[in-house]
Amino acid sequence: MIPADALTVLYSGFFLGSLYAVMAMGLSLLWGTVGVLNFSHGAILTLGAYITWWFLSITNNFTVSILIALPIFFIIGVIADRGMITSLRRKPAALMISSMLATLAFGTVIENFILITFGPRLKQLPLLTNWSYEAFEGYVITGQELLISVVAIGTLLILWFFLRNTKIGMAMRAVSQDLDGATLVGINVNGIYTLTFAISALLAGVAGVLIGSKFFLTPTLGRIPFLIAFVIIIFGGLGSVKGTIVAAYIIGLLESSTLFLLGLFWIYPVEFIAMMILLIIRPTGLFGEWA
Amino acid sequence: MRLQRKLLGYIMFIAVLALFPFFLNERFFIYLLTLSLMWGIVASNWDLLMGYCGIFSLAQISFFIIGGYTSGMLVKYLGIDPFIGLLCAGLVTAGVSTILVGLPTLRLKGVYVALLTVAFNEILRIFILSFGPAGVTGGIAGLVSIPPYSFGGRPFTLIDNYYLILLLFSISLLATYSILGSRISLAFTALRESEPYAVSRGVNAYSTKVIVFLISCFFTGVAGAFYVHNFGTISVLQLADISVLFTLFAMIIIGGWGRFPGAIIGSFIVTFLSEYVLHYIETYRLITLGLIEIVIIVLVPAGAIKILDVFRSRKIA
Repeated sequence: MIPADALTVLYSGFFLGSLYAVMAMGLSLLWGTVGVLNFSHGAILTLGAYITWWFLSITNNFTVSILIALPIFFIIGVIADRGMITSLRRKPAALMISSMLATLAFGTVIENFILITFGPRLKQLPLLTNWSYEAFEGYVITGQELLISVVAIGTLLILWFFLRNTKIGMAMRAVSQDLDGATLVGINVNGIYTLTFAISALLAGVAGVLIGSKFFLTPTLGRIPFLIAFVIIIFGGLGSVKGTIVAAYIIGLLESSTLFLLGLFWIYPVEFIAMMILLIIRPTGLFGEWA
Repeated sequence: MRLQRKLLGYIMFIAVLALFPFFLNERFFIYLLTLSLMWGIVASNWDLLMGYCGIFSLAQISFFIIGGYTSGMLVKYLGIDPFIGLLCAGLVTAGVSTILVGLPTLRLKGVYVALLTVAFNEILRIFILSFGPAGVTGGIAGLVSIPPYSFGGRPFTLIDNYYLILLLFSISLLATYSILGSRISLAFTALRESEPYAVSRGVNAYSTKVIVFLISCFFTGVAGAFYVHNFGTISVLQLADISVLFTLFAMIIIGGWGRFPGAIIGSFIVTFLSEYVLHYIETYRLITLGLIEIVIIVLVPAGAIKILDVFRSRKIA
């Protein structure tokens, strides 16, 4: 018989893991395909949550506002890529550092834009459902958490299907595996890069809505999730889809068990130390290829 | 020959700065010059790591904090002279940072270095704010009422502090200059352009990077110590904020990264721009800096130092 506490920790880890997986997938996809580490991922996530909140205050309908917001996330990604990264790509040797600097600046611009436009006051997306179920004495599973997990896993499945079974998805994988080969068979590489950035921004936006419907919205909402996503993609091996998902659940479980055993304050030190240890033992992450 | 002309340029630059207070004795202006010089030390040493060595370390502000807290606590609790504190801060920062950050990260590359240094920033912040040392470091409130520099019982004034930072700045400039004129600089260039080739030709990547790391951390720690005695207070909450990191970044990028006087030019531009122009639109300060940065990275990756190039080529022609 499993004690109730362990079940609680497991469930909470599962919930966090699903959230983190959506967040980290965007970052990992972008790194794997374009070779850019997007430091503005957290800021795009925050912007996604705020845009949805803004549409919600106009339309008063959550589903409608998400449907309007999704294309906007996509467009943000296109703008970021066409505006900054495309011209940086002309110098491939410096791309990694120059894109880090550019996206860091872009992230700060977005964060301050949010602060100026929406103000520093806390906001919250509404509860989607009031359903809840008392699993056992003193522990309640809320419908909100369950719904967030379901949406997160659904998003990942759609992404998985897209990458495996559609032509564009296969082209994206081709570009990430072998750039020269992909160019030779006539794939529009620049188009794929922009599309990847846009999908990555879309995933960030979705993650923002999911996080925003669980926590409060602040202009710095995306910072901690970004750091965790960063840890996750390194943990799982940079650019590996499978590794990212596995690592997201590992980090989720690690976080919930640290919270339960040691306390809130220890979460980030424990995560970072775990990652340092992993990097020392296996420098390319869990599923990364040996360089 | 070209290097000597450069050295002459630096000496003239420092001489102009040294004579400045005689011509324009405006307190606010001197204060801004002090700030520019202090951040100039940090930014140029950061650029030495990032631009020349290719180590994408984000922990420079942590080295600054370590230096500041070291000197502040030594002087406040042990009562030693702030000038000795300055030296101690540099040495402690160099030692601690190289052991805790340098040795583990130098074996890694690119993004891994970035992540580990971000992690170091977070852990250092949590360490200073809480657990055991909070009683000594002042925790959230920060370390306060730190004695200022003094000579013969007379505390330093604004002008004295200005000359002190100018002296430290000159030493840092000289150190960077002599590194860039030496064989180490050639090793850097080789490592940055093609690490496998440089290593195969017998360049010891690891020890070269460790030496640079030590020097860079030393001067950053010294700048931190200056900060602490100049302002009399240090707070990790204020300094470990992302906006400070971002402002330093702006200095390096606007000045031109990977080319030596670039970061220093940048620190002057950003400090004066922030106080004289962006001061009037404080809410929009960071967003404006960010936009300027993006425009510069995309359009003029070489940064403001490119102006010097135009100047030089015209002279030759």
